[in-house]
Amino acid sequence: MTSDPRSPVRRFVEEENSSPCEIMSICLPVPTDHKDLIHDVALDYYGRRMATCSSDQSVKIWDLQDDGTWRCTANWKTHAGSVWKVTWAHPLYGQLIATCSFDRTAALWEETVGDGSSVAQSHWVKRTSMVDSRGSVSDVQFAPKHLGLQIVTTAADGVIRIYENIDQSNLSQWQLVHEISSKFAGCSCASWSQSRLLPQILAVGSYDEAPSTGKVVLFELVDQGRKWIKIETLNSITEPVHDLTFANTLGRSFHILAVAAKDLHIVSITPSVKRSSSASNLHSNQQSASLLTQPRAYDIRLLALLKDHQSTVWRVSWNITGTILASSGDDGYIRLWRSNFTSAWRCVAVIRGDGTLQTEGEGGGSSNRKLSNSETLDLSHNAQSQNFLSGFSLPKTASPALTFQKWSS
Amino acid sequence: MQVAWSPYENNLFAGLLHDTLTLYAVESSAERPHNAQSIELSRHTFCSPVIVTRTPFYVRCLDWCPTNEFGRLVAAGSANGRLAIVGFADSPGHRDNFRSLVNKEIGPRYSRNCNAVSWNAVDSNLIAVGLDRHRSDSSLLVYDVFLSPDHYAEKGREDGQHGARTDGALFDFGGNDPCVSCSWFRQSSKIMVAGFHGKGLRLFDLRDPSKPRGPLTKSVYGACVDPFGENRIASFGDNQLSLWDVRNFEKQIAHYNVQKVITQIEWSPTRYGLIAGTLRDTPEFKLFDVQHAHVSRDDHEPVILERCFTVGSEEQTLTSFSWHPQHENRVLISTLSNTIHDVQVLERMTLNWSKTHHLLWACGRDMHCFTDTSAPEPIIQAINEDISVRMKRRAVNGYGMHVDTLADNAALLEGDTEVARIWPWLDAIRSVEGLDSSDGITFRGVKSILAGLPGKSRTEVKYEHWSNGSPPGRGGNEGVPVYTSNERDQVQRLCGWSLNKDASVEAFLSQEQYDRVAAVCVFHFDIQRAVEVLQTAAKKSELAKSYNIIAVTLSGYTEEPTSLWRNFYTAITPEITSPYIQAIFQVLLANRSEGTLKKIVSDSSLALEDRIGFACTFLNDNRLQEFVKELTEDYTTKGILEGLVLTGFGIEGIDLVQNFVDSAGDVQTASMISALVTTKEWSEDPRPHQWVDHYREVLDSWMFWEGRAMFDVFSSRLKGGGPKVPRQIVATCNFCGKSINHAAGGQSSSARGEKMFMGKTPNVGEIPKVSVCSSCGKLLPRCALCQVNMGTPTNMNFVSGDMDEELVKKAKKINPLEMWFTWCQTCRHGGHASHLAEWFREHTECAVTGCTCKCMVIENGCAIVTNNRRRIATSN
Repeated sequence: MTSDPRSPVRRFVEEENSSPCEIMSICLPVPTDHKDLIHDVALDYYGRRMATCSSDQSVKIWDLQDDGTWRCTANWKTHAGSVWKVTWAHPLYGQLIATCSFDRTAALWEETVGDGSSVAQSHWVKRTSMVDSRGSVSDVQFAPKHLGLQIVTTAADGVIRIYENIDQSNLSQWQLVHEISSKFAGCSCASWSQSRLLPQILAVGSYDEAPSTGKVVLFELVDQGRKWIKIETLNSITEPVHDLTFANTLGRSFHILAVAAKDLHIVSITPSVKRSSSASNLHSNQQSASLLTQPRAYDIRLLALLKDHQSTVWRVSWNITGTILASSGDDGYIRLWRSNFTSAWRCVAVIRGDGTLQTEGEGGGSSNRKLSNSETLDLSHNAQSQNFLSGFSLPKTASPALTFQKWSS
Repeated sequence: MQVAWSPYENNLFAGLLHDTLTLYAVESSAERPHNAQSIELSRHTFCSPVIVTRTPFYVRCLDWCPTNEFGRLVAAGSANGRLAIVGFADSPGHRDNFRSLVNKEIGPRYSRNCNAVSWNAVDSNLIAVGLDRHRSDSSLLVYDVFLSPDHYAEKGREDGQHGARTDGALFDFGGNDPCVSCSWFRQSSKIMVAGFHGKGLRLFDLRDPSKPRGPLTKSVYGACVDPFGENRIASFGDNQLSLWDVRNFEKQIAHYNVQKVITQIEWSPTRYGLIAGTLRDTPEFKLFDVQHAHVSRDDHEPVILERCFTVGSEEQTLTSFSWHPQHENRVLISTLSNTIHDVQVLERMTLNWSKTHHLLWACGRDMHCFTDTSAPEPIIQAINEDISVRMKRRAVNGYGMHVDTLADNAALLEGDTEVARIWPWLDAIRSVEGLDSSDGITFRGVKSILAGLPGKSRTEVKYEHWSNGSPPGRGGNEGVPVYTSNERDQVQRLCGWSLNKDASVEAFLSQEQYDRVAAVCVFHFDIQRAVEVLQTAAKKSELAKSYNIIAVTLSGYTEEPTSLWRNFYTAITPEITSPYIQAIFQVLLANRSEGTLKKIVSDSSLALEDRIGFACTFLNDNRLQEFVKELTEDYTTKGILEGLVLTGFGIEGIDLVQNFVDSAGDVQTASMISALVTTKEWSEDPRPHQWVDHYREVLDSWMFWEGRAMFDVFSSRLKGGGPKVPRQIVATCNFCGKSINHAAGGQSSSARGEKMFMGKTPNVGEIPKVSVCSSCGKLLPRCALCQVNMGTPTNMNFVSGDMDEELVKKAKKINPLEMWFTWCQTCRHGGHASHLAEWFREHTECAVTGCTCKCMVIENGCAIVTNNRRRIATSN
């Protein structure tokens, strides 16, 4: 029971000494065998397990093998419609995933042991189904671990719902603890801020088509976790939002939020210094109640507005430190972004959806091609390949005027 | 131009331009084929014409024969309503059908525009033709291509008015409303849907042709049947896309409006619920993703998600497109300027980073993965430069854990010089304050050391001369004021500018920082030494010439520089790039005014310690304080770690490190520093705790638990052992219910997370006899396998078969982990870990007689979180 030869610590070291031949391979395709479009891929806390969900209404669980390949260990039909999102809970709570679907429900699944006869396939049992939504459930996210086992869902009916597992020993008992109306025709995504020290924020995006209204709303948890209050609408983002995500705070004094709309927005959200410096009351829980029900003042800045995709940005994801942002767009490319020391964000790599790297010949040489030059559906990539090849041309989007523009609320 | 893929040959498509129908063959190659006629379709595909045929008329619409039994045939509808079968010859003479059909012409009685043609996929002899209106004829006709018109004409004459028509049509539908679209169902080959302008969609069943049904709608164009579910029909009218369910045909189940008039739509034959479309006068290619939940009771309204692409680099209006019948998401698109594009439509991609720097994404049904080792070079580079990977590498190398010489940590920073400078400073602080590695750093900062200067402290002023061996100059020159005081001395020792400068000179020399050494010598009024150093430098360095010139220049310095010397200096000034040499001459030459001094101390290309040292020597109290204040503010706002020397480890220091973390994201260095600091401010402010928390979280998610545990020990080392972790598990006696913690006192504080009753015993001889409960004296539980009571010394007999000599010896010395007592969380039977492990290698059931618990399966992996474990988890 104690000495597992594949103890994770040892694996960690092995990974460091991986053989050089591995470096040669460009991209590792994972044959998923999904019967339809994959909508989401989620990795667990350790990056050793993966969950994929698809329009074929199923979810698959994958375990990373010692040789670096992924092996499917579970595959089951989860919903009666396309499964939009899948997400892992913190391992403290066990092996839990949550899914949400077009069929207007979200569900919580727990891995259980079989009778030992089939070790290869693990079993996932539905612990609860959240059926309150009157529209497609577009996103489901677990709260950061210090808030306990909580789930937020967003739905096409424009309502944000927060569920909490009341009894830790019974995963089937969930209570709808908050129901927040977003005033949008439909919400597309939500993200929890990741810091224990800074006030807890929930960002919600909408795909509402209504012109010239802000599509991202921020809520703060006040009154010792009893109430969510709307603190801000990001009015400069007026296009439908498809995805948004907070970076891991990692000791920073502010939140960084990436928003995928028509363009890619990177926003910093700084709680006002005044209130946060009195955060020593984090330890002494006594604070006058009137103060606690008030939201803080926030300084919200647009750090970058990145248009390189030249089409709708679909998904965004931060790396562990919140220093590299990956975005995918309708142009069929994945772009990696980093900020340099002057906090200007630039594109550091462009990857085609099929795994090949964008090279000089592609997109650049349109002059010698008479009839056509489209292989993937994209506009001319001249500007992008320049960014990428010359390495350090400042992105046109990082103009100083934009960089410190204060948001009008 | 119109294009259409061949339904059964992967690399062929028909292109229609006016009255010329061309069969193109597509080949994939990286290079353009040496063929004058080849046309580039995309970067890797080219097409060349195989067969060119002339149709007898101007073609308005066409449809491939869905089967290849007849050979490659295309039905083409004309402006006058005639339908011609155009053939592309296969291998010669192998098909009778082909020969009988090719160049066949069929037509209605009254000529008018042919709007649509559809070839039945199952009964492949049937073709439906949609025509414009005529007051005395139907607009939708169905022909059997094998029967000649004469046959029907004759038959009609014989039978009188039994439905057969003189033009040879088998069926006629639709009255005299113009038919603008028609499409056969694929599986139910007797059913067809057609759109009639001004009327609506109609569903026709050949078995019962008299009862067409369908809604009144404007969305009558482009009616087509979902290849994945024959109940769904899509059609469009103006700028509205409509979806229909034939089982409930009266009302559209979904509609979607686009900005412009739609010109063509087509279901994807390879992907469920995907419709492509083109709009009038735009280069945009639209994709409509139909989401439809199939909940049995409650049929939800489908939702249409739109995506949009621009084809090609030029803004060309798209005229037609065709999905490839087999290759997923491959579309052929033709434009107004008669170019053809072979396009791979990429799906919306989803992506995610793992905590271990893997980037995974899914494109369509495929997954891809980049790891931090297997990505292409630019990505590896980008990832490796990133703080996340650097942090991981440093953690593996034990960054921050070099306690005795903190400067050793700097070596692990891989050239991150700005951060690295803080570590030698911390060493310097220790040595100045007389601390060793077991003391916490409480340094208050240069700023606060010097804070008291103007008031109380006694600052002495001396006037020094740059002697250069020659006697001091004439009396008029008083020399340079040099300030000393205890505080200044303290700071200078910190900066390595102690009065005994030789030590620091040696250190710099070993690092080959000759210009710096020279500057330090000059600032200590030792020009002689500076010249010597420069001469040494000239011998070793590549810049021999410039060092020599500077040495010569310096040696020519006198208290009252001649104009000749000044001129010479001015001449070589442009060649001096080193900030230190520049500083030397500025001091020597210029009038030592405050401006010059200020210029030197604010020159950020000089090392911080030299600037502070210089300032402490030459600036008077007020100026010095002002300078330090400005410098502190500058370093704090910029978040440069080195500035901790100025701020010290108070609130201001936290602000500085916070700014550093904000800009660099290096929570690791911040955590390591806060582990060394023991000031009140740092232990009370939540921010240092937050850095540590976040860093521990990062280590955890890398599964670097051992490193995290070491860091925990390290960071609580100076702080009284950190938070006490309470006992996690207590074993109680089965009989009296009291804890079997026999040697209560000594072990409770030392054991963190160990099972208390198994306190680690370094020496076998000291193990007390603990195989009985300390309160009631009954025997403790037995190992299910060896039947020895728990707590019995295990240095004998517990040697399992596969242990070698070495292990046996070891087992006799201390209890190795596998000799610890453990138990199943469910059935509460247990024994020595190694015995149990051996047992469960071959069994799934518990070793205790009569117990059917499948202990090992339950504990296998992290599958089950028992209530107990979850309670532990949430208490953390």
